[in-house]
Amino acid sequence: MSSAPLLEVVDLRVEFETESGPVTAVDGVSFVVDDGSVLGIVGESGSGKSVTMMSVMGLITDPNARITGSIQYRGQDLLALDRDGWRGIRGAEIAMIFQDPMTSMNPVYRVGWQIAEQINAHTSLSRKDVRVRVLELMQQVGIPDAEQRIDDFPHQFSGGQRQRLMIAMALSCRPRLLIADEPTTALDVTIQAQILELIQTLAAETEASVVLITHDLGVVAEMADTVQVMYDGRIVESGTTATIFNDPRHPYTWGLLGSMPRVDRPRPERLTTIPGAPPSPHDRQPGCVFAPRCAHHQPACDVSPPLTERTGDGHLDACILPLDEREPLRAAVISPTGAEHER
Amino acid sequence: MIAFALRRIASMIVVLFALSVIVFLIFFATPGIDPARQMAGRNATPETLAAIRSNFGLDRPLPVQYLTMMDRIVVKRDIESYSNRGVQVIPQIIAAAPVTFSLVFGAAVIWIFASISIGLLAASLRGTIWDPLLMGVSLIGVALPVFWLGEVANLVTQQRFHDTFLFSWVPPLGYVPLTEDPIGWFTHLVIPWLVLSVLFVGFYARVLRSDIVNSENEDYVRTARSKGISERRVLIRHQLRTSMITFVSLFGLDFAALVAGGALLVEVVFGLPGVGRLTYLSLAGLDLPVIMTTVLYGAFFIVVASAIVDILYAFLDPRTRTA
Repeated sequence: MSSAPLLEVVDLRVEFETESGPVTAVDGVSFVVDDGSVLGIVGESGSGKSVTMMSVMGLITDPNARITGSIQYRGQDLLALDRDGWRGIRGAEIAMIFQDPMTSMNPVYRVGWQIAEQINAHTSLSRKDVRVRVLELMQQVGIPDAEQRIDDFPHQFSGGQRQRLMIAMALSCRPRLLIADEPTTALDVTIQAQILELIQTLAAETEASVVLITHDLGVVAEMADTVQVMYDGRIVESGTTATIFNDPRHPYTWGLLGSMPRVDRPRPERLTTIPGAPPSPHDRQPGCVFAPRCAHHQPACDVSPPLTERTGDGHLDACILPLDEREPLRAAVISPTGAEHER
Repeated sequence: MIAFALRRIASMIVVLFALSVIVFLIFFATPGIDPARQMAGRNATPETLAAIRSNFGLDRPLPVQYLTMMDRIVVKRDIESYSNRGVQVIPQIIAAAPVTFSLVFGAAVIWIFASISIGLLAASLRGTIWDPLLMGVSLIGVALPVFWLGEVANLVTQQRFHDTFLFSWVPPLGYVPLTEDPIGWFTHLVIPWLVLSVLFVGFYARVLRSDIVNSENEDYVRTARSKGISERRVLIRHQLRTSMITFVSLFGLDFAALVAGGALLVEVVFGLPGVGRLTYLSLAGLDLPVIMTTVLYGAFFIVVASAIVDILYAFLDPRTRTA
């Protein structure tokens, strides 16, 4: 075994050529996923978090896309793979769960067949053994009466059950890395926790690493070991979950945390909002991507601040504010003094 | 399943009844259309017309005429042609049906294979020059009038180049039954098959290609790709399979319409004595019993085909199956 990390992404850039010029969806993103870890990627819609991980799966098929940088899986350069090379990675080494379980399965095939298709692609088990494995997987993800339901069609299952089936499919070949792209966004709140717990348990059992893409900070706090916050195609802050939640350093992260209701803090009169709207990737300006919406914007922000480690604990942020000046600014956003609920 | 069949049969009876009434009214009750005048020829005397009318029962009330005709078509099956007295219509149709079936069946085989191949090829070659090229050729195929194409094919294979090695095997126009001479059956029909299928190959290839290209954005295609199966398998087992739903429902109805007489132009151009040609001749001579019978025959096939399409549809798309 080499000492290369499970997944190492360096300076990943994804550009789409459009009629109105090139659009940069991912702008120089670098990160590492270690064996057995859970990485949470947080950001709003359009921040590039899905595109980043779709690139890792080689699922960006748009002929107008241009992907540069490097994506190494156990030291193997994924961007250099051809169509056939991807087949050994997808499903076997890296698997993915998608956002909408209602449309993620082919409506015309039985669910057992669809799970078996993936197993058949990577193993040479006999028909009977594959079926046994599919049943085992369905039971593992908590489908009741798996024997009866293995030959049902996707539309005969509820949304939560379909997501369970997608998890069964993703884990069928014991991948080392599981990418979950907003796996609970399309589900009922009551089902969300069950699905997340299932992902967590099964990933732990198979010792798979997980990259969890979400815009739900609660989910990240619950599951992730490390967190990276993305905004407009860049990582603006990353670190361990504890440091991100206890000592957030980037004003965008403050905004995200401040806009989230918390039960462990005094309840503010009203939640803070981040003024403005996410920028259009068409008119990207040099400098800090968050500057146009940042309350602490200074002229120096127009030169892009690099993602910098300031305290030697792996906590990176891309903000030029001096570290010691940030505390009071942050307090104003996350727990506004005087705005506490007192009656 | 039984309920489905019963519903289908009931709706078939209703459709056939309504169609027969409409066709009957068009030819018997529309002012200016007079079968007696047609049969009597030009400059017939009023006496001749009256004689023909009473002879053929055209002077009786319309409902009686309708019922008599339907009785002779459906129950007694001994209805006779107006133009050729004494010639029964039903045996004529029974003799013509195998010709039409042979023509349409062969063309259908060609159009299924060719359109799926072209559609798949164009979809998988998207982004290269071949895709628009194939689609352009298909569009030309759709745009060519079938009677013109048929005449050109005849001109080339029967006259201009008939004596060259390319087309010397082409027999004269006409039809040879499969049971009598299988090779003759094939050589007589292969040019009509190709001519008839050109329009459908072009149309179906275009529909299929656009369905496949659209399915590229479907989530289940992304899922299929993420499983690590080959691109070829993604294309054929996932994209093509779901695109076949539209293809098959279109096919069922087109096939039925052709069997019902829609291949008329090709039959006439190639001198094939099929149902379409029979309809054409009966229309030209206002031979009402034949028109009525061929219309009912055609309607029957279309209704049956749409029932088959519905069953196939449930088979192809499990979501439409009800418990």
